[in-house]
Amino acid sequence: MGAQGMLEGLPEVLVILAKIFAITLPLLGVVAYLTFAERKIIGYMQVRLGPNRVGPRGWLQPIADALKLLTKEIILPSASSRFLFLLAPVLAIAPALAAWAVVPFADGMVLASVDAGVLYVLAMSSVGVYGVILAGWAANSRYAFLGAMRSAAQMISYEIAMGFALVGVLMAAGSLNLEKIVLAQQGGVLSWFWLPLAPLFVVYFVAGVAETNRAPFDVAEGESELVAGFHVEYSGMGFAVFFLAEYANMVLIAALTAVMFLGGWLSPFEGLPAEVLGVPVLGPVLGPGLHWLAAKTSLLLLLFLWLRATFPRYRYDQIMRLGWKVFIPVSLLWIVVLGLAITTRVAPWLD
Amino acid sequence: MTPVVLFYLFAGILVFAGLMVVTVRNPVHAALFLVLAFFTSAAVWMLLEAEFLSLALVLVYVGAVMVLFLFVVMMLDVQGAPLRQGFIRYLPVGALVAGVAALELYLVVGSDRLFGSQAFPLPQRAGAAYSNTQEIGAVLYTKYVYPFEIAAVILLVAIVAAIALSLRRRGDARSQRPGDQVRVRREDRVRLVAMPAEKGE
Amino acid sequence: MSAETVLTALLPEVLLLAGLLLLIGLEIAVPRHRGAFAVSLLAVAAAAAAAAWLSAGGSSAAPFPGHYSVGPDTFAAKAVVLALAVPVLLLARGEFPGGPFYPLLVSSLLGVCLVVSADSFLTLFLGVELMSIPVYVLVVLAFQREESAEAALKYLVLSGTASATFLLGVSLLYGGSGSLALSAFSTALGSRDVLATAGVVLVLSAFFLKAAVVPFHTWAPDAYEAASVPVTAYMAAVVKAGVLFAVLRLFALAPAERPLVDLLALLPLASMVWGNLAAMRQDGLRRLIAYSSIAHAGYLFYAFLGDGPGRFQAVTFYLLAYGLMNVLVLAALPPAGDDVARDRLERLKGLFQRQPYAAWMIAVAMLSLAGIPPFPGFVAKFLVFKNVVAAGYPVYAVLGLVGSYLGLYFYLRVIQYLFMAPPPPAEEASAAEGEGAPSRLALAATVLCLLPAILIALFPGWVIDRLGG
Repeated sequence: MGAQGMLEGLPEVLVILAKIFAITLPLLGVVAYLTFAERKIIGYMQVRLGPNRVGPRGWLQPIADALKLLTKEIILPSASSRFLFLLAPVLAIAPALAAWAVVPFADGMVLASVDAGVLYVLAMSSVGVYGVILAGWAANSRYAFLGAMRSAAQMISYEIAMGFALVGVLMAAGSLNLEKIVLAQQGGVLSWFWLPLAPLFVVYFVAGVAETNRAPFDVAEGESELVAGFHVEYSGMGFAVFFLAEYANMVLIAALTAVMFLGGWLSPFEGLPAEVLGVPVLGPVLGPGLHWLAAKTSLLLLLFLWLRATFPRYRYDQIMRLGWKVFIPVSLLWIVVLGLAITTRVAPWLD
Repeated sequence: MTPVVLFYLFAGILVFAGLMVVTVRNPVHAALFLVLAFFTSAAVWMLLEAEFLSLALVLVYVGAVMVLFLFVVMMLDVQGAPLRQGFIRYLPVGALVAGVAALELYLVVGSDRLFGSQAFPLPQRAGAAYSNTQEIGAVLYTKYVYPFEIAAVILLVAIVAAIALSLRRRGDARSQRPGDQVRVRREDRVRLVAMPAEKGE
Repeated sequence: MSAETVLTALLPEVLLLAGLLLLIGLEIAVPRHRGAFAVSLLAVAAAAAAAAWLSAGGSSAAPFPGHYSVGPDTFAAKAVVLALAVPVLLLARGEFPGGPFYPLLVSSLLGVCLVVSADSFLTLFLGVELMSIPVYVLVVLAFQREESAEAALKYLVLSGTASATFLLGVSLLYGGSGSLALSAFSTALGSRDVLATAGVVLVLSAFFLKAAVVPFHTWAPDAYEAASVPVTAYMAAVVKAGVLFAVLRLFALAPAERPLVDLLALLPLASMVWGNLAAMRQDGLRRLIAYSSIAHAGYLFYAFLGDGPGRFQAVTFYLLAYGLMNVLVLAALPPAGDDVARDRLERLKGLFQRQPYAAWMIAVAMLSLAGIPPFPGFVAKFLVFKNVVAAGYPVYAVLGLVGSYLGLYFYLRVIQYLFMAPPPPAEEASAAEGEGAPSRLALAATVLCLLPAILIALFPGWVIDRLGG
């Protein structure tokens, strides 16, 4: 039975693999052009042009960057722990990609509609910190190590607030399944969870910015103090993978925020009469679908970039203070408020 | 078929990682093998359809406890040598304990009468609609609500205890007071002095 | 079940919990630790009074069936433990003006209360942990010497091992019976099954360690010595009581049967002999009390050889007498410049000439701990040994008595120090250096220990009846 039994499941496995590719490859494309968008947008915000030499208006810049990084020499510091040094970038990017398994793109369009989806996402994002810590330790460099320590402390602190924010979401939705969370927000822009869970929405998004070590929480990299922090010793592809992981995490956080607080793939104009939805082009655009998730995610990503262009870096102790003494109490308090709201069934969200 | 293969794969990695935790020389590597052990046992739990516990294991142990653990181990820079000094001396005791544990395991697993498949028939595989999370919640907040609350009190006490251990006011330490910094006004820091411009000769 | 019945059944715990939360709030809100002592004293005294009142009222309930139940006897046990904590708190006032001491102590007491009422392994385990975790920290809080950190770590690691052993044993019992109810233990006691016996032995050895029975006693002398005086008193009187009540809940009324009887007799016997022998060689008072407590753990476990119904009375009575006397010694101990000096036995030489009241108190406590007739310790020991004989183990009873006579030596040595002629002036000066009279609160603590001790010495029968069983 052995070999035959294995073969029986083969088509199923192939379908799953194809789905994984269908998620991962576009994602990498998004990541590549996110870096381009970042440079352009911040450029415009600072009244500069940004990259504009490679290709028409600079559109081939990310490809040139990728080629450059691919052909660069990979340098292994001589006193480093080789295996861990090479493993660290993999550990950074793997959870960032794995978490996409449960993200619903549209109704029924999800790789794994598991019931413990929110938990899975939390677990994956909590594993991501290992890449950073190991990179810092394995490089055997003071700057890298300091960066790793900072980011470990920071990620753990903000994970707590993030977890509490998610507790609020699952209380409101009554499910841990991300698809069901989206479906619980039906009814137009005012029914999405951003309104009843406003404080948690802010906490989650800001904690997400901190989790991804993005400005203004980028003390782990801190190029003006720690050179580049945890990945100071990496070059070539090792560096590129860390870069990819950071941007993939950004996209992930933005997508998850969109799914959990902004109604995911749902259209803000829900409840339009059937005649409008029947109009050839306008109907599908106004109706629910992948494009709404993409639009919301892009908006949140713009916010990420905007934050970076606007705010100076937080001081380390201020980061800790914000995480422990502001976000955690706020989210705890709002969970209590939410509990009261659920028992009194506040319409239209919790009825 | 596939679950069985997966089980042996994960169990194999688990045992290997467990062995490495105690034999490997570098404490950071040992901690990382412990992470691997937790992760694979989470996978084994997943195979047992305990998805909630499995993810909670990853979240709590891999994502939080071991990160702090690594944090400390890396900071301490423990040298391997002194730790291994008594290895031979303690080996007999260790072997004895391991032997007793193995014997107990044999008694539990090996005896069909007590814990074999006759005494405990294989549980039914739950369907896709079964939610382990919901089941746990249903008993945790009804049948086991009191122990659950006590556990909450224990956590509270643990916080108090940890703060009691670590919070020492040192006389010679300087610290910032963010409140005062925010409240500072321009007049406290800057004094504008009107000085007539000097004329060059 | 209405909220009212649940709250009544949980009244002592609710009062303690309210005190705990209030203490934490005070610590945050009120500067300079004002009121922590008063709040905790009030909470503990109120909880003790509530427990005593409920016990006298004969109320019983099971607010969380299968996990937690109360009856007159459990309320009596809670009253005993909480009452013992009151003089401990009085002792602590001088040394701990505020800070984490009080919340930790109150939460540990909450743990003891849970243990006393536990009906399932789950609640029992959680209760024991809640009782012990604060104590590890209390030991370090002492005076933050290097030794106290080391002792606390020893205590923590060994106690953690005990918890792990307990869980292993419980998992075997759970595997065999399929239930987390404590009755699985008493059923397994009588069973001939290998696994059940293994489970019982593992669970028992965990409690042997927590109660410091030989050969699991090594943490106790260090921890007792490293802790400051009120914490030592707390560990000797209250924590030990908590552990013994846990064992009482486990055994319930089940008789000890053959293969296990020997374990249950020999280790405590070894404990009595070794504790008493080792105590002879100590020159620090707290180490002496530690070894004495190891010996007393032996007597206490001896009680489990006896019949079910007599057991509860014997153990509770013993814990009351023993706890009162231990706290009395430490309360009467004159304060000194530093805690290490305060501990030296040498310093007690000629104390009678300097502070007759303190000397008398220590003497009474020592005689009682030794089990000399008119004092309460005698009645307690008598009850235990009577039960052992009645259960049909005269040989063990005789051996135990012999072991207990070994203890006379060092208890009497302390008394000899107290009343002996004053040492030469130079030495006396050094002995009395920094010595002050016990504070007013410490005196109140001695009175709080002495009055009940007189009561139970004069009317043991009446007290035993009140303890139910």
